Amino acid sequence: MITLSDFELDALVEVANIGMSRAATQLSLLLNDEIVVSIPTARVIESKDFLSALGLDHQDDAVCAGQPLSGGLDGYSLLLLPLDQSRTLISSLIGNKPLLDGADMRIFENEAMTEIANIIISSAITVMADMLKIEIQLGAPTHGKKSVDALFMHSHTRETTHHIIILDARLNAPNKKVGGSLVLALTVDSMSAMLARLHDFASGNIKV
Amino acid sequence: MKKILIVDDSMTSRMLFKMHLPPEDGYELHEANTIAGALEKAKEVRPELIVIDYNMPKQNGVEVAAALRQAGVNSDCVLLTANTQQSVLNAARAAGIRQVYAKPITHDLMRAMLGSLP
Repeated sequence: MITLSDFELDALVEVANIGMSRAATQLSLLLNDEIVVSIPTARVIESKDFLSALGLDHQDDAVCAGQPLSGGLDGYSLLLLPLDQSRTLISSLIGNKPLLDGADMRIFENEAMTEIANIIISSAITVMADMLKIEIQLGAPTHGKKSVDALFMHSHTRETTHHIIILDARLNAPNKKVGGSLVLALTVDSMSAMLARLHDFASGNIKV
Repeated sequence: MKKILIVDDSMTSRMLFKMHLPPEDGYELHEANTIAGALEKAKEVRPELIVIDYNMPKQNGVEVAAALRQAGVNSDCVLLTANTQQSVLNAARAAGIRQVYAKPITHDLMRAMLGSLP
């Protein structure tokens, strides 16, 4: 079992906090509304427990959209929220005009969620990458209603059971009654590399 | 009337851009969601400004801007992207892209973008 020291946990949470706060800022601009962001939590889990760790194993109506990460950090980032709130989020963005119907509307909703996730995730990853002075490649955004297969189809973490670290925070737009989770799932190697980088900054080996 | 070409594979992103374009100021908006479409539209319309997303399938926005230049399109090019990592800013500068703007588009950002048009 991998355990993290208090310093390591604190460091990871702080990096995630900076990233997720930037994500909240961009979401606030997108919705023209206040966004309340929780302090991120950091957990080391086995990859097979990914869905239950996020409370998704008994929830059928979660919408997820995300992007794979590689380079300086290896893993996956995703935005999760309940289906009805995803529609509220999209309506807040584009107004309540019915643009399309039926299957076309569903395609549009999926596409809109993907773009929203892209903006939020990219902004979080950007500030983390620049803070750590690393380069992170963001893969093409994808989306899918929650099901084990759909989620893990796009996940970096599914191949074999191994440990991953999950950093996640709640983003809530209280005035619009919309809330979701922004999740960063990283390989343990990436986590170790991030911590090593922070140690180098702290010891002066790398100039900020 | 000034012509703007938005190049973004995301329909939502193009729609948000259109929503923020001031209607009263006489801008003509054209759209493309692929590099091929962008090349065709840019040569046809000769826009004053081309706004390009960075994270796109097959080619990133910097590569798209370079392809436009190679095709003889000399329009003013800017990036509008959520990915504003230093590496992206450096690549954009090296490719002669005038400015990188961070998504999401807002009215203030649109004013800044249009205000810097010659």
